[in-house]
This record gives sequence, C-alpha cells and structure tokens, in this order.
Amino acid sequence: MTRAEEQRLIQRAAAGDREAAEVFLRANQASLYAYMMRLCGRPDVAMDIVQDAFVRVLTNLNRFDPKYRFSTWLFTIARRLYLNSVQKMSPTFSSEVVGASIENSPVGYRSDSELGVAVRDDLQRALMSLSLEQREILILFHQQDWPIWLIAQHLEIPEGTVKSHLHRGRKRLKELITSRADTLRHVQEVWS
Amino acid sequence: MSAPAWGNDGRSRKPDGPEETREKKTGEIGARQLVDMYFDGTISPAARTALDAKLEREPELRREVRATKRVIEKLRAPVGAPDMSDEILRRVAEINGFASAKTRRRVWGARLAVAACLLGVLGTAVTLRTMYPEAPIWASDPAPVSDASGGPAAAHGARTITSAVDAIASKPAGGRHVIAAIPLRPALKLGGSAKYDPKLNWRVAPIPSLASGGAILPGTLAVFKPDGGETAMAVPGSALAGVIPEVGPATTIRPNRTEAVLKLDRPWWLWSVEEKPAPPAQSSAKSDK
Repeated sequence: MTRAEEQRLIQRAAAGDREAAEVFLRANQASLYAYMMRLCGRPDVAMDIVQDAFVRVLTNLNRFDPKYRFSTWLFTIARRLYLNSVQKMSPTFSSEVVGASIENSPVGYRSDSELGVAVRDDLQRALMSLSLEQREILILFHQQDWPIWLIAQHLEIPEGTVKSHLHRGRKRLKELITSRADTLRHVQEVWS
Repeated sequence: MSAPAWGNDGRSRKPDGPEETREKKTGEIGARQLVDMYFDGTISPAARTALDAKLEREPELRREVRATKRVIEKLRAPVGAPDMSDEILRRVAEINGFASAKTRRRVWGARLAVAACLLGVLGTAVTLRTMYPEAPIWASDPAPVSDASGGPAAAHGARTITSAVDAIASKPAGGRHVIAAIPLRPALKLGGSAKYDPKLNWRVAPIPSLASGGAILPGTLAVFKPDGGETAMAVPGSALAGVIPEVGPATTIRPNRTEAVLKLDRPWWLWSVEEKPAPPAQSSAKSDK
C-alpha cells in the first residue's frame, strides 16, 4: 500500500467508512499480533493488546500524523499498551498454545509438527529470557523487517544503541536456543 | 541474504581471542563484526569475501552462523493470528459508529459548505481591509484607533468631510472656530465605546443629551468641551443636510480636540475636530461670505 493510498484510506476510515477500517485491520492485524505475541509470549495478552490498539487507532484517526506510516503509529500504540499492562501485571509467557504437547510427554513432543511447536516454544522461552529492549529490537528487525533507523525512532533511542542490542540479543538468543536444543537432544537419547 | 559459501575445515575460534586482538590491532574487521554485518544486511562485497574466507577456516564460527540463521528463520516463521476484525470493528462502531456512504457524502457536503462560507467571509474581510486599511479589525470594545491628529484622511469620505468642515466652519460658536476636521477610521457600533490612542486614552461613550439641555438630534453635529458636558458648538442638522444624516451618541474630547461619531452614508465615522480661538477678522470674513 503506497502512502497516498494509505492517506486516502485513513481519510475514508476517519469519515466513518467501515470498509476502509477493515482494510487497515486486514493489512496489519497479523503482523501486529505476531509482534505482540513474540513480545509478551501470551496469546491472550497479545489479543487484548492488538484489539485495544486497533480500537484506539481507529477511533482517533483524526489525530494521525501523516508524516509517519500507519503501521508505525499502530505499533507505537500497541507498545505503549503493552508497557502499561506490564506495569499492572507481570505477563508470564504461556506455553498452553505454543507448546501444549510438552506437558503430555516426557520428551516433550511426539511428531514432527509437535516438534515444530516445541521448538517454537523454545524460541519464545529464549526470547522471554532476553531484556525487553533486546527482545523488541530482535522482533522488529528480524520478524517485522523494520530498518534500524525506524526501530531507533520507534523506541526513541540512538541507532547505535539499537545495533548494540540487536547484536547482543541475537547472540544471546542463539546461545539460549542451542543450549536448550542440546539438553532436549540429550533427554531424547536417554529415553530412547 | 544468501547463505555464505564456506567449507568444513578451519580452525576453531573463541570470541575475543588472540586473533580478534590481532585484527583490532591491524585494523581488520573482526569475525564477530563481519557476522553482525552479515545478519544486519549491511555487509559489503569485500567484507562478504572476508567473512567467507573466515568461515572456510573456522568451523566454530560456521556453526555459530548456521545456528543464528536457524534462529532467525524461526523468528520469521508466521505466528497463527486469530481474526479479530469483527470484534474490533464492533468495538469501534460502539465508540464512533460507522456512517453509511450517504451520510458520509452529506458530511462532506456540509464540510464543503462550511469551507465555502469561511472562504466567503475571509474574502469579504480581505476586500474590506483593502478598501478600508485603517479600519479596526474587531468592532469590539475597546478597539484601537490611531491618534486623531495623526489619522490619515480617508479618501472614501473626502467629499463629505470637506462639506462638513465647511458647514461647521461657517457657524462658529462660543468664540471657537473649527479649523480642521480629520476623518478617522469607521467608528464602532452605535452606543459602543472605542479606545483610540492608548496614550491619550480617548473614549467614546453615549451621551444622550447636552449639558445645556439641548438634545443631540439626528442630523446634528455636537461638539463638546474637554472638561465635560458643556456645549462648545452645535451645528444644526439643516447646516449638514445631505451630509450627515445621523449623529452618533458619542463624543470624545481632550484639550482643543473634539470628536464626534457621525453616521454618514453607511459606516460610522469618527471625526476629530480641532478647534482654536478664531480671529474676529477671519470669522467675520467667512460670515460675510
């Protein structure tokens, strides 16, 4: 979607056009949910925040600053909502959805698909072990394909700091996942 | 990001080991930095060649890069997102409500109409401002007006002013003689007050009747003394017939300076009349004329 198209859609949505609002929803909800899911590790919290963020944005379109992209604004609102929710409660990551099968098996998975789920769960565990800044920067850079300068603007920190967090976070994430995979492999060998 | 071409042999490497120290000393780009540049997507062709060479030599580095790539791929894997559109749109509709296309067209029509009105008002204001550059912007209380003595003659009322001055000058009263009448800006609404030069603090205020008992009638120019109330000169409406159809209820005075609000053709004009004792000879000469 070009910026001109985005502007037209925003004007239509601000004027109460349901279809225009729906276009924004369809275009952004998956990426926002993925970002929030990886950030907080809890599907229920991620859903709540995504919904709240969209409601806020779509009911305040007249306050949208056209010098930014709509998605950037949306992510900023969602991030603030997440930080507020973190202050109210400590969202601990839930393995119910991403790794339910682990509970039923001593090894943690029984099929290839479950293996995938378990590995993804490992990724989430590892992500949650990182600091919020590292986690968020990794997600925005590698999952959302945001450039460094945009992440710096979004988080209101210098680009050098973003790079530093990115490099350390990536290294740490790899170490965490590798060490957990080694442990799982060892357990699997013992049980088989 | 394409996968680096690297072999299986090579030396093992520890981060920040002697090799890295050597690289720092010699100005070479370290392996860690090269890997970061590679994953950041900022690696240059030359640096990429250097990284490939390092990966050829260092299996540990190779494993690290492979593991990091796998992690990034997992991070990029899609997360099954539930469709929340209906719920979100329902909540938005509760707050804002969605308008039908017809309603939206009406809203836009109304906005355009308002914009057109505003443009019309603005255009009128600009036109009036061009025609009457000295006019006060706000007809409020008080509104600034320049000093009467320095007020420029308004071309708009020149004929009327000349006639009025002639009429006034031909009827001296109380030993005073009007020697000049300076038109100022259009005055404010009837009965209102206006502040002129802030230093002088002149004011126009409604005066329903003269201290001497005579009323200010339409068509009469009344001039007052500065110390209040007493009539210095009153020109009957007949003398100003066709010139000043209506006299405003207000005067403003300071020594040797008199003001009156007159309604001429349409706008209210503030007139300032400076008076000085008239030489008897001149006075009689004019009277003779």
